[in-house]
Amino acid sequence: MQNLFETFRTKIPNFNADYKVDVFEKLSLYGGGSDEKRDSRGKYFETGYELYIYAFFLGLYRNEFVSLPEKAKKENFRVPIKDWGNKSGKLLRKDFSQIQEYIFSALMAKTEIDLIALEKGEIEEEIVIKNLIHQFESFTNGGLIFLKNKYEEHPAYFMRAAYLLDLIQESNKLD
Amino acid sequence: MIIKKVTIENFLCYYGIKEFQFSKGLNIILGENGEGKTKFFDAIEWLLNTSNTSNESALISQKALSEASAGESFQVSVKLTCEHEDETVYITRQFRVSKLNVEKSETTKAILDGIKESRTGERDIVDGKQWLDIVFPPEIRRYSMFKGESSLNILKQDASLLNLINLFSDARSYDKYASKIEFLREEAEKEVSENTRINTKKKSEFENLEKQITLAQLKKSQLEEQLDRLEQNTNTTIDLVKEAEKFVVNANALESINKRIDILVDRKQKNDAKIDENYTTSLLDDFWILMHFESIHNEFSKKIQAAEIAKRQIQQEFDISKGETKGRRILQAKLINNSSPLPIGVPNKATMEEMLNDEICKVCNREAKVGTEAYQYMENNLKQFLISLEPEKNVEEDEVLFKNNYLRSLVNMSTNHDTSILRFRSIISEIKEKFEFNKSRDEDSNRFKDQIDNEKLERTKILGNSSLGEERLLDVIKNYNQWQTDIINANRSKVTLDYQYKEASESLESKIEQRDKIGEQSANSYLIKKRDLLKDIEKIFKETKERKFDEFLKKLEDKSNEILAKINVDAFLGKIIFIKKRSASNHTGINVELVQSDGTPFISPNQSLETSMHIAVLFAISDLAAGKKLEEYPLIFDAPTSSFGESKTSTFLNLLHNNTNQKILLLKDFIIKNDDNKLSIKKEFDSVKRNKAFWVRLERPFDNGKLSTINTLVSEI
Repeated sequence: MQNLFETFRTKIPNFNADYKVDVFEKLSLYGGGSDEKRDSRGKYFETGYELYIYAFFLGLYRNEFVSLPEKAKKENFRVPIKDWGNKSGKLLRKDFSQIQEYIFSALMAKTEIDLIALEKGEIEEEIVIKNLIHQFESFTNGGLIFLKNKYEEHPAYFMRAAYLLDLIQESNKLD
Repeated sequence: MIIKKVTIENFLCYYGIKEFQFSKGLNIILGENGEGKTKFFDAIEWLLNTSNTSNESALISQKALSEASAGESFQVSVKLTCEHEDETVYITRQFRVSKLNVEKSETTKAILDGIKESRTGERDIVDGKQWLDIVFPPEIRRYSMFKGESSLNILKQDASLLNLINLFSDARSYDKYASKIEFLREEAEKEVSENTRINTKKKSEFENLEKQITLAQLKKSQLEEQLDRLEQNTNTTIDLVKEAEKFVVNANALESINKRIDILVDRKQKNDAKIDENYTTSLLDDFWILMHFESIHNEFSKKIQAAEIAKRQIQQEFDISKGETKGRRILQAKLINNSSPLPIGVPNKATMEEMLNDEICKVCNREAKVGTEAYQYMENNLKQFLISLEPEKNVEEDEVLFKNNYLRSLVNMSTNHDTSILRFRSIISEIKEKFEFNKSRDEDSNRFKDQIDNEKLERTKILGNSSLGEERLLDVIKNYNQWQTDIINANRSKVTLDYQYKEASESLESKIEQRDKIGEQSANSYLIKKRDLLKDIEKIFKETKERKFDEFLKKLEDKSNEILAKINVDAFLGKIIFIKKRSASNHTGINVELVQSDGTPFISPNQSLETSMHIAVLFAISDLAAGKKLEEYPLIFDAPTSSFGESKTSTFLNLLHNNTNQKILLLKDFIIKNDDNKLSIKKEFDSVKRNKAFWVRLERPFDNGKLSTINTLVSEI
């Protein structure tokens, strides 16, 4: 059975390399976390892609769609989407790999795709996937910009255990 | 070794020559405070501690000095006459004092003389220091002389008890071999390594492993050091806590407060463990991040549904239009009276072509000129036949509208997600519940914290009622709670370090195994067998030594409890237990504890009970050493039982009397001051079994303010 999701899962999305230091290394253990950071598990994300997912939903719910600047240096985690959220030996954590489907369905909902043309074979699968990934990267980028600004404004807020949850809770700008 | 006589000359309060003739068994020296008991002890200590050479002038009897004329000289000495292996040995430490004038005197340096006298009476001058060490070895001396009750606790340091046990248990005999075998095994391992390095094809792998082993050994020993350090620090802190608790008047109240604090701390920890504030993790692990997802799902679902409907409609229209063409063809091929046509290909292709060529239908034998209906009919039949010869597939391809079917999996996904809508809706209330749960646990935690603080305040008050001086007490109170916290933290760190140590050990073992495996494939088999044999022997030695040690420890425990029961007859007893501690780094230590009948330790045993325990352990060691027919040594105690009370002291002394080892006890009990201020020995002392007894008392009258009037008299009772 032809399956867009299966193709989508094999991809590795990018992010603006500027946020590696500004956001990822501040809020996740990506790039080697200090012991101090490791101790505050729960307040921060254990992997880079977890923060990527978070930033995506933040961007999605806040409708912050910002394409990556063409000249921006791009970076990724070298982990394909299909491996995101797999438990794979992590104690104290649950498998949340199903999140991949929800990301995909959200992108399908938000991306202009002529599904009839796709079914007729008038547009290539690869083009559709490319659009989805662009959408993915753009919402995430919007989320990352929002996080960066928040962090610069009030870094101490991020020490609160529920702060990242609060940000999601108050981000329902869809209706 | 038996001390037969102690002669003290012009030493501190002992003016002139004073002798104590001792016998085997129990010797008791009675005396009021300040009348010469401790100075007797000091005299023996001065004789034995030859390294202490400073300030001899402070040891001179002031009475002797004052009574000497200017220009006169006299001797200050302490002489030990002892029996050692059928010989009598005299050890004398002495110096001379020359009085120059009323204010000034000179002393010579103290020297140690020795004389050895055989059974036949022959006397030889010997090296005093050497013979002192022979008759009374320094390592024994440390455990032979005890000044006051607190000094009995030589078991406080792990090393002391360990030394004693090592001294007397059979385990000691294995030591000299153990180090040799360890050396030989290491050499054999080196030989195997060298041989492997030369012969193996996996040279680089082997060398790499050897490097890793060196690093792993280093890591292991660093962890060992850390563990030992942590253990030492913890033990010191535990001792400080125990020490502080000793000064507390109401020990029982303290014990119950400590128990309540333990329970509250435990409850608080369990409560804290329930507080799960990993909200960020829950965003993903519990899919909380999908809290606003319902509208997005609906958008997705509508989009897919719309596309699916559109696709079906297009397909339907396409099918209809395809069906019309097909229908037209069918209509054209219809025969008169709706009869079924002949099968395609009848007549065959050649016949059809012939009939068209001749413009005659040879089936019905009629003319069929070009342009006529009959000619067209024949021509159509031929066309149909030719089409039928073309492959079916090509026909189908032409007719497919949708090449792809991505929608089917999308529809499936959308349908599956429909069932998640309820889940999305419940997330907000789930988060709310979680917050409420945590809030309520937080409140519980704060309540526990308040209760703990109150208990600690109460504990501080109890500590405040202690017998300790104010300044020191403030220090103790300030530190007490911190020490308790330190102990908890140290125990936590120990768990982590133990785990790391275990990991490091396992990693080292596995690397050695890998290296040995290469070695076994490459090295000379004789060398391997030799190494393995030495490894086995080393293991046997270690295990046997360990077993002998354990056996001795068990005997010691039994004996100690036997003695403790005798000392504390009719009194509350408890049980002494010896706990062998093996730290992760494999260092053995011994803890001696007094436990209640249910096995729980006394938090703060009273001094009398503690002294009983220490004496019981000391005598048990002494008994076991005697039982092994080793040389016996005297035990000298200065006021070991000040916390006992007279009746318990009597019981204790009678018990000592049953034991034939020589003991010299200095006691302040059994002395009574009469109405006219005269001292005398109580009648009760008559019932105390002993081998010898002396009474030391100051010659009266004397002037409290003048040392030159002080002279201790010694009389045998």
